[in-house]
Parts: sequence; C-alpha cells; structure tokens
Amino acid sequence: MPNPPASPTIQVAFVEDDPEIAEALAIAIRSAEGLQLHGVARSVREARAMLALPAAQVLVVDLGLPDGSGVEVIRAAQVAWPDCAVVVSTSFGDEAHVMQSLEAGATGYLLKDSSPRHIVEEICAAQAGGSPISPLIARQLLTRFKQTNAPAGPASPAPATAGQAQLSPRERQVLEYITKGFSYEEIARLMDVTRNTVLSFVRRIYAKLEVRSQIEAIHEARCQGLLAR
Amino acid sequence: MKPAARVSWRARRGFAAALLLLAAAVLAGPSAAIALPDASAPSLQHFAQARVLTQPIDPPAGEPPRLLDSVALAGEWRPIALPHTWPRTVVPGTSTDAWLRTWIEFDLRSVQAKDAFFYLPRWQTIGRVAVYADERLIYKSVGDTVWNGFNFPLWMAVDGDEGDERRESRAPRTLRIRIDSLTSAGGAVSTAWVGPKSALEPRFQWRSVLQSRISEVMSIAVMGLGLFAFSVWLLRRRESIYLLFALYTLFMVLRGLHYYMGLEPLPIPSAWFGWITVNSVNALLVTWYFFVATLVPRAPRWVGRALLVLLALSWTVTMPLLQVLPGMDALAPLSYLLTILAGIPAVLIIAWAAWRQGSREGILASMVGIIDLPVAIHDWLMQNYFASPEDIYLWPVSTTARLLMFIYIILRRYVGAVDDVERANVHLAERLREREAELAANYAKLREVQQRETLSRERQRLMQDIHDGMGSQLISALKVAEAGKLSEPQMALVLRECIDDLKLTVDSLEPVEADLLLLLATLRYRLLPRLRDSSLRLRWEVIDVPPLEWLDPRSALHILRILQEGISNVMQHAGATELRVATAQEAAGVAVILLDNGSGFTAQPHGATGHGLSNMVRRARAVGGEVTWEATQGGTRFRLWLPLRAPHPGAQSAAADSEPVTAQTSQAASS
Repeated sequence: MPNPPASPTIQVAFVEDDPEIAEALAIAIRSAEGLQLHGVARSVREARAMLALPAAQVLVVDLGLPDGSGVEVIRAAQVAWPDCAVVVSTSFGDEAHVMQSLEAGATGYLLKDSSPRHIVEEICAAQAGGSPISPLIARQLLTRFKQTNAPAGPASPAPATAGQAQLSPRERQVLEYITKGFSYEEIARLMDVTRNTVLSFVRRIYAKLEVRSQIEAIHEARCQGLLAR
Repeated sequence: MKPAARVSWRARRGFAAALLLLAAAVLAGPSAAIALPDASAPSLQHFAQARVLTQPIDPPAGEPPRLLDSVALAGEWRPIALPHTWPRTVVPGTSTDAWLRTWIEFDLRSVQAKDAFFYLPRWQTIGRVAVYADERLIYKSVGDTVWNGFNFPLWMAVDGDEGDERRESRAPRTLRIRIDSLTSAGGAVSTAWVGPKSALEPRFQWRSVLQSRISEVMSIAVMGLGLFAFSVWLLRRRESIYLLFALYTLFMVLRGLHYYMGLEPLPIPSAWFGWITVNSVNALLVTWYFFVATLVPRAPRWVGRALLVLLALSWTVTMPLLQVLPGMDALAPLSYLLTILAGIPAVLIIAWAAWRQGSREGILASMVGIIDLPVAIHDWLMQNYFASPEDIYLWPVSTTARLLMFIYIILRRYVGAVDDVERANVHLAERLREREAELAANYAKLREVQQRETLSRERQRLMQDIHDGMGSQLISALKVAEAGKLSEPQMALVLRECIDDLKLTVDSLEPVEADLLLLLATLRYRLLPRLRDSSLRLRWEVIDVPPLEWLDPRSALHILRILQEGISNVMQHAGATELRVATAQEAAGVAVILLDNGSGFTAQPHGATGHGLSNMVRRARAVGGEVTWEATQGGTRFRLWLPLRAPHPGAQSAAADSEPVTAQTSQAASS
C-alpha cells in the first residue's frame, strides 16, 4: 500500500563503486525532499558491513562491483533488511541484468543516466511498491511465468507454493498491456481500475517472481539430490 | 628374421616333422605289432616250412568235400619255405581259363594241437580256399572268388566243430590248406601259427585292425568329411576346392571297400565291383591333382588334362558291359601300374610347383602325394607277390594322412576367415571413426564459417548504425567543442542523444519475437524521459497487428531508428503539442502512423532534416517497407509501411543496406 504523501522521510542507502555516479546519486538524494541518505558502500564487502547496521527503507545496488556481483548484495539485503525495497542501478536496463536482479528480490531498477528528478521518483515508486517495468522485461516475465505453468500443473509436488508463484489473469493482463507500450495510467483506464491498483498488481508480480525463483532453486536442488524430499 | 615369422616357420617345420613321424609309424607299426606276443611259448609253433602239392584242375564247381579221401592227395609233395608265392601274369595272356589246385600241409605232431588255434596272416589269389584238419573240412571261403578275403587273416580252431563230440579223443596231426586258383593270377601264402588262442589272438586282432577294420573306420570318417565339404560347396559354389575334396573322399570310400569286403558274397556283380574299386585308384590321383591345383594355381594344366584323359580312358575301356578287354580281375595289376607311372611325374610336378610358389597348403597337400607314391608302390609289389604277403597293405593306413591334411587346410581357412572378419571389423571401425572425425571437423568448419558470417553481418550492421548515428553526432560535437563553441547544456544534450541511441541498439538485440508492438513499446519506454521533459502530449493508439516473422535484430534496429527519427522530428521541428502513435493492418502489411498537430515541414534532402529523412527512406527500403509523409489539416501524417513477409529475405535487404544514401522515393515528398 502506498504511503500517504505526508510520510516521514525515506532512508536511502546505495552501493556504487564509480565515485562520479556515487556523487551524483548522493547529491540527488540529499537535495530531494523526503529522502535521506542512510549510507553508502563502494564494494560487496562494504555493503555487507553496511547491512549489519540498522535498516534503510530503500537500497540502490549497482551490479558490477569490484569484488563481486551486486546480486550477492541483493540476496544479503533480503535477509538482513527484509523490509527494505531494493532497486538495481543499471546502465541500459538490459534484460539479462534486470531479470537476474528481480529474481534475487529487487523490486525495481533505475537507469544511471536518468535525471536526478527521475531518480528520486523511481526511489519513491520503489518504496511505494514497485517501479515501472519495461516492455521487454514484461515480455520476459510473461514467458517465465508461462514456463512455470507446466511444472506447477496438477501433478506438481508443491501445489501450495506453486499457487503463490502463478500470475493471476489480471496480473497477466497488466504485463500484456505493458508489452504493448501502455503507461500505468492508460492501463488503469483500459482495465477500469485505479492507478494504485495497477501498481499493486506490479508489486505482486515482483513478489511472485522472487517466490517463483526460490521454488525453482529448491526444485533444482531436489533434482540434483542436494535436498532430501 | 622377425620373431613372428620364425615362430610360424617353426610351426610349419614341426607340423611337417609330425607328419613324417606319423608316416614312419604307419610303415613301422605292423612289424612292431606283429612281433608283440612272445614266440617262445612251448605250445606255440610258427610254421616257416610246409609241404606243397600242385595239381592242375578244371574250373572248380560245387563245394569242397567235407571229408578228404587220400586219392585227392596223391602226387608229388615237396617241401617249401613260407611265405610261399607262385607268380602271376602281369600282362594278361590268352590262357585265362586254366586253374590250379595248391595243397599246403602243416605237420602238427610237434605241437600241442589240442584246443589250439590256427592263424594264417594272409592268403592271396583269385580263387577259393578250404582248410582240412586231417581229413575233416574245418573252413571254407564263401565270398567272391575274385574280390575275396585276401585282406582277412585265417583264424580258426584246429579241431574244428566244437559241437561234434565224436572227435574229442585225439588232436589232429596234419592241417591242409587247399587253394583253388586261376593259374594266371598266381598266389601267395604267408607263414602260419598254431597255438593256444590266448597267445595268438592279439596277433590276429592287431592284424585285423590294421588291415581291414581301419579301412572301415576311415571310410566312415572320410564320408563325414566329404559330406561336410560337399555341403560347404553347395553354399559356396565358387570354391571348387570343396567339391573336389568331396569327390576325392567319394573315391576314397569306394576304394576303401576293396579292403574290407569280400569275406561274404558281394552285393553287386564281381565284375562291376572290380571296375569301381580298381578304377577308383586313378580317380583318386586325378581328383587329388585338381584339388592340389586349386591351392597351387601355378600347377601345369596340361598334367591335369592328361590325367583326365587317362581317367576317362581307363573307366571306359574296362567297363564290364563293353567287354573289349579281359575282366578287371586280370587287368588290375596293369591298371595300378599305369596309375603309379602317371602319378610319379604328376606328384613331382605339382609338388615342385607348390614348393616354388611357397604355398603352405599346397606343399602340405602335395606331401600327401609324396607319401602316397611309396605306399602305392609297396602295395603294388605286394599285390603281385614281389613283397612278403605278411606285410600290410598301407593304403588304408595312409588315409589318416589324407584326413589330417584336409582337416588342417580347412582349419586354416576357417581361422583365416575369422581373422579376416576381425581385421575387417577393426578396419571398418577405424574407417568409421575417421569418417566421424572428418564429419565433425567439416561441421565445426561450417559452423565457424557461419559464425564468422554472422559476426561479420552483425559488425557491419553496428558499424553502419554507429556511422549513421552516434559516430557522426560525436564527431560534429567534437568539432564544435574544439572550436570552443560547445556549451555545457549542448554537450549534455549530445551525450544524452548518444546514450539514447546506444539504448535502442541494446534493445534491438533483445528477442522481440516478431512483435511489432513490443518494439514500439520499447521505443516509447526509451523516449519516455525526453517526452516527459517536452511539452508534447503522447496518445498511444496502437492496435494488435499480425506478427512480422522477418523481424530480426537488424530490421528491428532499422524500425526503431526510423520511428526515433520521426518522433524526434516532431519534437524538434514541428512545434506540435500532441503526437498520436497508431498502428493499422493493411492488405499486405502493417502500418505505423505518427500524426502530429504541428506546423509541418518540408521533406527535402538538405540540411540535418534532409539527411535524417533520406536515412529513414533507406532504412525503410532495407526492411522491404516504405515511408511517406503527408500534410493533413493542422499537422503532418507520417506513415511507415511494413510488409507481412519479407519479399527477398536477407539478400535484398543486405544489398539495400550498402546502397548509397542519395536514393529518394517518389512518395517521399508531398507537402
């Protein structure tokens, strides 16, 4: 549920190794109303140290870090700061990087070349539940969830969790509209709901993707005999 | 010499030695066997002397009398040494009907004759034999007169009929053999033995085995091998060696009859029996020659032909039906002699050829002939009483060598065939592996070529794109900056445009799966920040269109660039407040329409706008589509038409890619 407009300031932390970008990001956060810079890390190691501190509400993570992948940080954040919304910072928002992050638990991504104003908007949107999904990512999500239908059919070994990893028809519809280029407002009009409802669909899609990738990981482990049944 | 070669040479020498040993044993065996029992037993007598009486008689008719009367024994008895022979006429003369009766008398008074046995290793002639103890007949031959029991020893109890109780009182004092024979056939009698059954029986048994029984046994074995060879030939007609061996065995079997039949009356007429068994000898020579000739291809053909002529002649002229010549009984010695005389050069010639050729099988097979020659000569001498009648006819014994020879050859062929198959399999497997490797290499090469082509196409595509867009933009920005005329906002703008270009390039690489709307959506998503910063209001009015199967990264980028340029033109030059983006399905394609409410612009190929427009035209052509502009009331309508199917996929659009930029379409200008 979106926070009321007069919410207290949002604590934002970020992990970024490029000093120029880090500086620009820090300035954008400090100068934005309602945002507060919680902490900055420049590597996976520093990020782990930061995660030991009290939680921020939004964590922006760069994927290409000098001592590892930002995906590790995202996974660690899911454990250390369970209520924190994770946003990936990427140069091009290309499918390979974004899908990996979303599956690790990120709920949005921002493009590094975005204007400071847009960055702040994205951070707020992420904290509110989920940032916009690009059409190519939406198409990818549809494909991924279509694939789950097969293993999570009637003979599925874990029907309870499988249900959580299925898209509802409405959620599917939202993704299909996104692939056709419609904005959230237009989708809300087309589906005859409010924009907030569309946002909540998007939020649920993010959550289901994470659950789904966890189920997949467990299934994979079972198949390889890593876990007892 | 290599070790393997040495081993095989040794094996060959070893085999030859074994064969020679066997031959020696065959020749030496009989005398050793006969010397087996102890001759110094007191009750045993070996008769090397006897008395003989010869009487000319008429051709015998009827049975010999059961009791002798002394008149029959009147005449001039003379002492002789045993073995005793009287000569035969080798070349048949005219007086073939004269008969002779020969009495041979043994004095039994010096021997313990009660319950004794009489053993005569051999008698041989054409005629009949009867044995009398004192006056009483105790044995008479019942077989054929010509092909009789010449190869069976005489073996009987001296006091004859054991059921007769009247004569138990005294042991016989003399033993007489009465031989009625054809004068021209001559005759022979070996030494004789009288003694206890237990002392004499081993001698009798050994001789029986070596003379007649071996012939029976060998005949059966030979027949089996012959059938086997014949069956092989039936399945493999091209290998005549098997048929020849089958024929060879057939004649061996026929010849074998000669040595164990005749004790009982023959099943066929005597003349025919003689015709078959005597002629079998030269048939053996001829079939053997041809058999060896298959192993020794260098063997002279004319020898074989000459032998065949001899064979045909021999079988025809001696045929009993024709009766051109006297019967086989009289001709046999001559026939054998001819076979030997023909056989000596034939054997030597083919043996020499086999030796020259170095064929192991050929040498082995011709060795059989080399062994058979002395055997034949010995047997011929014996048959004509030039050798002791106590010898043994060696031909049945030497059959062993013939069998071994054939078994060895067949075994070698079989093992050789199995080896060949194994080698062939190994070879085949190797060939297969080679082929697979070749195929894999070819495939890898092909893939490499394809990959190189793909890479080259991709590189070309990206180069073209960078050259047309970002590259030229960056260079012109650099020129301005070097002149010191580039303000910071201007620089930021150039960089932003370059990054936007790059993003579209990245997006074009994502699989869009023939979905034009997805492509449009991506474009909108990328242009969103700029649209948001501008005053232009966007109305998204797309409808579903059929999939464009030809939509690959290359054409996707063309479409993205065309529409990017189109929207950019509206934002920069048209002064519009609203842009409608729509799709439509048309007859053979789909259209993307950009409709603005701006002031319009002239599509002329000059300046920055003109350059951009010509690029759009070129790119549209590259994907087989077209672009048009038309002025509408209060704005401009830009339309990109795309075909449902690429008319000439690949080649056509690739050619269009490299076309000069100066091309203009007729629809391009309408203001």
